[in-house]
Amino acid sequence: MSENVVPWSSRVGPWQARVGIRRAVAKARESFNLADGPAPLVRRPVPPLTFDGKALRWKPVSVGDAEQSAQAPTILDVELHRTPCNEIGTTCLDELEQLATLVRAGAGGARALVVHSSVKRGFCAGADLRELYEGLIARGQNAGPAATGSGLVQRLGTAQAVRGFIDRIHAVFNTLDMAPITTVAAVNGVCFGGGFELALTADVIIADKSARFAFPELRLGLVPGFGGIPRLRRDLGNAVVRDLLMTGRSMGARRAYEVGLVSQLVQRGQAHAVAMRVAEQATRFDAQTTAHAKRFAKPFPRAELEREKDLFIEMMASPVVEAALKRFVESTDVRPYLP
Amino acid sequence: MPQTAIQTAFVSTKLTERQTTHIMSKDELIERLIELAAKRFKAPKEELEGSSDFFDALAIDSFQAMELMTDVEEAFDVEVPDYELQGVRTFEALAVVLESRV
Repeated sequence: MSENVVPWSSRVGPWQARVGIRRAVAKARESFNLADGPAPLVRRPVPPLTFDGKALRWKPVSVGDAEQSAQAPTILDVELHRTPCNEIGTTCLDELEQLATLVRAGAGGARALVVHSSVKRGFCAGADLRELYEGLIARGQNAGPAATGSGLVQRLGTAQAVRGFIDRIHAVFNTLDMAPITTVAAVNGVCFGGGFELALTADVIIADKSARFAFPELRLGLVPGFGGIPRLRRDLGNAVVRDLLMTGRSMGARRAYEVGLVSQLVQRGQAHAVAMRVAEQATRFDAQTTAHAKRFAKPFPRAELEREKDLFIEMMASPVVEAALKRFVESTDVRPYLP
Repeated sequence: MPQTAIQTAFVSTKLTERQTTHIMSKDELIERLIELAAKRFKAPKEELEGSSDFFDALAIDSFQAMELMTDVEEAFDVEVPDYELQGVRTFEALAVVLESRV
C-alpha cells in the first residue's frame, strides 16, 4: 500500500459507519428474496383438537371416568412421527406453530400435554441441517453479484432470513414452556440439539433407557439457538450445562437421570405410557392451582433467551457454519465427521 | 503389555447379575462387546471378530452406532463421551477406549 493512502478505517467516523450499514442493509434487502424465507409469526385460526399432519399428530385422550362424564379431564397427546428422526424444518415448524396456537387458545380444555415420538430412532435429532444448508446455498445463489461482492451484504441477508425462523421457533417453544397446564416429554433414543431444546420446554421429562441428550451445535460452529441453554441452566447446575455445551458430547439416559434432567428412567419403549400416567396424575389437581404452581416453580428466562437468539443469528452468518454444514450434509460416510 | 495387566471391572446387563463384578481380560472384553453388538443387531456372533469394522460388518449407521454405545454404557456401567469414539470402528479399538473408563 502506498504511504499516501489514508487507511479506510481512519477516515470513517461513527455517522459514516451508520450510513454505510444502512446502505448495506438496504442493498441486502434488495438483493435477497426474503419472501421465500420463513414467514413472520402470524395470527392463525385455532386448529382442531385432533390433527394428523406430516410431522405431528395430536389427539385428546380422556382420563378417569371419561365414558361416564363429558366433563372428564383430557390430555393432549402429541406425537412426533416424521422420519428419519423428527428433524425440525419448515414443515415441522409450521405444524408446531399450529400446536402452539391450539395451546394458546386453551388446548381445547386439555389439562395436560404429552409430547412423544413414534419414530424408533428417537425423540428428535434437532434442526433439519440439510434443509438449513440448502436454504443457505439457495439464498447465496439468489443473491447474485451483490452477495459475491460483499461479505457483509451476504451476512446481513442470511441473518435476516435466520431471524425469521428463530423468532417463530422461539414463539412456539415459549408457548409450550409457559403453558398453564402440565407438560410432559417422553423421550426415547436421540434427543439432540433442537430436539433436546423441545424436551426442555416440558415440565417433566420421562426417558427410556435408549435416550441420549446432546447439544452438538459447537461442532457446527454454532451455539444452540432454540432456547436450550437458558432452559437447561434453569434446571441444572452450570457445570453440567458447560460439559454438554463445550464438548458437544451426548449424555445417556441414566446419567441424565442422575443429574436431575430426567424425572423418571424407564425401560425401553415405556416412556410414553409412563408419561401418560404422569399427565393423568396432573389432571387430578385444580387447574388454577397447577397454573400458579407452575408459574412459581418455572421462571421464564426471557432476557437470556433473547441474548441467545441474537448470538445464534450472529454466528449463523459465519462462513465457519456454512463450511461445517457443507461437510456434514455432503458426507456419504455412514458416520459423518464431526469434530 | 502383558495380558494380565489389562484388567477390567465388568458389570453384567442382567439385573440379577448387576452385582456380580469380576475382572476381564482384554479378549473377554472384546468378546462381550461382540456379544452386545450381535444381540442388538441380530447378527451372527461367529462372523464378528475383534478386528471387524462394526459399521461394515453390521451394516449400521451413526444412529445405530449410538444405540450400541448406549448398550455398552449400560452393560459396563460406564460413560463414554462421543468424542473419544471418533474414528473408532473396530471392537478392539472400542475395547481400548473402554479400558480407561472402567
